[in-house]
Amino acid sequence: MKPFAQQTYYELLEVPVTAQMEEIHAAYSRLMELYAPDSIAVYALVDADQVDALRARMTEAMEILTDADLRVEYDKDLGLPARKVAEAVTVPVPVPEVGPTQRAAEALASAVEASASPSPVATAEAAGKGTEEPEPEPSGPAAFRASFVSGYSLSYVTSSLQTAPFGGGFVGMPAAGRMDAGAASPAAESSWSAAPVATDSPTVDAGAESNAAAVTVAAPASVVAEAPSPAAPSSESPVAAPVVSGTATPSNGSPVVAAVATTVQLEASSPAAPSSESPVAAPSPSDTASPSTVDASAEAQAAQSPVATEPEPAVPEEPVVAQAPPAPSLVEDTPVPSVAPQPPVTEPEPPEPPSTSIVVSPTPSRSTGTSRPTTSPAGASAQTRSPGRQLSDAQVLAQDAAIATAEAAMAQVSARVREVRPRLPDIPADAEFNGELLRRVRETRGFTLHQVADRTRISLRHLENVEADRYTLLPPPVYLRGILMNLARELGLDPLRVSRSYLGLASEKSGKK
Amino acid sequence: MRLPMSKPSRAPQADARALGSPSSEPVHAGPPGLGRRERPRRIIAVGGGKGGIGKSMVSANLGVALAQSGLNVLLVDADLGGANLHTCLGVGQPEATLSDFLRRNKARLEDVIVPTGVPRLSLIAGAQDALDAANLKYAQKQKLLKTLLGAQADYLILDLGAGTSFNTIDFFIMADHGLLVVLPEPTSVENAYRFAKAAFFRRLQQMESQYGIQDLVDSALTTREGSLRTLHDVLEQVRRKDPVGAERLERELAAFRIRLVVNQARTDADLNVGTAVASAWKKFFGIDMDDLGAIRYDDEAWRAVRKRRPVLIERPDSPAALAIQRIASRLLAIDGTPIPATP
Repeated sequence: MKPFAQQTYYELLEVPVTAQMEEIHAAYSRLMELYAPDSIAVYALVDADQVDALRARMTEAMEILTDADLRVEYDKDLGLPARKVAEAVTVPVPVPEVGPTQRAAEALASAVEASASPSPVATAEAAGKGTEEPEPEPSGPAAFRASFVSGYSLSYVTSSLQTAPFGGGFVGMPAAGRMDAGAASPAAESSWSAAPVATDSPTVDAGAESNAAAVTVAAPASVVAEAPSPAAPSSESPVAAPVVSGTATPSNGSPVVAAVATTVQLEASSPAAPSSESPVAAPSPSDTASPSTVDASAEAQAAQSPVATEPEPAVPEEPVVAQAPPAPSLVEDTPVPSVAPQPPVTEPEPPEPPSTSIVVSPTPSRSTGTSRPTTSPAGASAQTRSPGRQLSDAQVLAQDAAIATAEAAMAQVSARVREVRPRLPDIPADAEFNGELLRRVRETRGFTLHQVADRTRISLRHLENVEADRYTLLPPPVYLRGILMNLARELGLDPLRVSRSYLGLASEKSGKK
Repeated sequence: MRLPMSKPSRAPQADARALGSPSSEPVHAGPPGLGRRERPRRIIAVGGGKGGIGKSMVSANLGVALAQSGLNVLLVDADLGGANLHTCLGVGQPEATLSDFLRRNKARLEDVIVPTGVPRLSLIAGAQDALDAANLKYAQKQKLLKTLLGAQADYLILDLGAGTSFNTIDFFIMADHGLLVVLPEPTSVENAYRFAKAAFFRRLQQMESQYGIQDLVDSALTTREGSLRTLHDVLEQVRRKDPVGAERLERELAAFRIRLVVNQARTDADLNVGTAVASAWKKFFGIDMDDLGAIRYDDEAWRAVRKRRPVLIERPDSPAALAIQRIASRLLAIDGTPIPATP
């Protein structure tokens, strides 16, 4: 017996956890019909806004469950057996086709775009085009997917972030080798901030400075987004190994930026198989920005958003193809999701290094300038090493990276969902309901005085006086009692208790005077 | 009334006090298994909130169907202000009615039972002429409830009136099967939901004293925006105070199943309204409802009423009659009664 807000996506859609894609779609459309605003079954059952809320949640459920990667993440989050995870992971692998890669590339591209403000976009594009030859445009499905991704996931992530001010950057989760997948993912789960790394890639010896999580930089794909900021301590300079880190540093540290960063990630993750090599570059804010980097990251952490501040050190060995496009100056602008130039990631073609998709991260701040935004094209590195094996691994790695990032995104989403209902502050049984406490309760409920006044028809003046404990200005007890009862009811408190307690205080205090 | 009634140990003595309104004996679903007296094996209450949706028609025909399955069935017209079940069965104006039983102190239920002409199916007709018949006094209701619990029959079917007065609801929640008749139209669905909510909150009220949640239930009943609105909220509140109690409360609530019957379904889509309603109810309130099936809109049913005969006897092969038989056998299946071959 759970309110729908607490139901899992599977429960919401009334499908078994093993449901196939078609099953989920079918259930979704059936439910949408059932809970349509004009459906007879919900007529007069509950408020319209509850129905709307249910529909919104169902849509969210459908979106998550019908996206292979997000679903895997979600399952993991639920604690479902890893069986499915393995399945999901493996499925794509065997197909070294262009498919996943392309998709990934697209996703990345769109992510970049989204995150980049207009100017950055241009640069990104330029970079993409310039450095890598634009691959053949992904055909139908891929394109669709990219737009799909940029469309909905963007919107929903951003919307979810808007309210929650996460000031932070985000972290990329690095890929883990296939076999390590298991290990890596748990790590990711446990510490969102940690970037799991693939061990097999001989590549990097990432400075494992991150205490908790093993952060190794996987050769090919790790996306490290940092909250970059110009001010960032150089020591912490995030390095994106083969991966690009998206740094969003808003000059003003506005949440918007954070949103951007997250979006980047999400997008990266949503695309099912991000290509391993494609680094996602997040535009880092240009130097214009000033303020608080540190703050941002701190905040981010607090917010539990997976922040990858710790992942550190740049990996020197990597063949780094750093293309630092001009830094996009303003990140704050809302992302423009246009279907970006696809940074084509063609895994199959190991050949030209440039071909490997490299999305460049605009470079960042001067302070850390050096270590920063090196984007080493994974592909490049792969090539340098043993191409064959590496390449195939790359895909796996990429997938894992995607999973990890998706996980991070999911964590945020679910955190938000959980936060929806503000809890009442614990009110001790013997608490005295004075104005201060009433105000706190009201604020916890998220009501403004005006709203309360509107709903209770108690005048604003009275409400203010009640909350300020200005007993002498309050009406006589008979009326005050009515006011308190109404107010308490509105706040979900026990009316009798509140009025008794408050009236007691009032008579005591005013009596003394 | 000195019936050894099966009084559940957790009687809510606080009942009457809580709301200052008449309240019933807290009768819990399921066989109490107390007392020497036979108890009806199962009690079916047929309600629905709205008037004119076929509650009496369903009751009468369900009674016929069950009787035809070889079970002893007692139909009670508990629609105190608008009794007409006898007419549905073609019994004519009965000589003895429920008001005789209620008014006379020493009357026994057996004295007011009249045969219906259908083997194994008997009837207690509703109050007829007393102008205040609908306004059952508290003591009278208690007496009736207790007596009905002691009635001898395999199935006791209560045909309830419209509305959600406590007089109606209390009969509904004492049943093992609360049949909620609903038409596939907004007016009826609206009233059905209201009826179901009222039934659950009434049940909560009756259990409240054990859980110390009077205030909560009261506030839920006199709800305003912002305060408790659903059973979830109530449970949540109780859980905060008393997790164990909340568990029990939840179980008790879940034990009371409402079963839907969609009547007068005109389209194929209408046939699914029951499922839709049950699933919406479950989604929002977390409580299961069963969909017993739909009865097609059927002119034969209407014609049968005109003839004052149950459609099941008048036209046993009509769609409506078949649907009712299906519903009856589903109920029997739920109760685990082997379905006797229909005669």
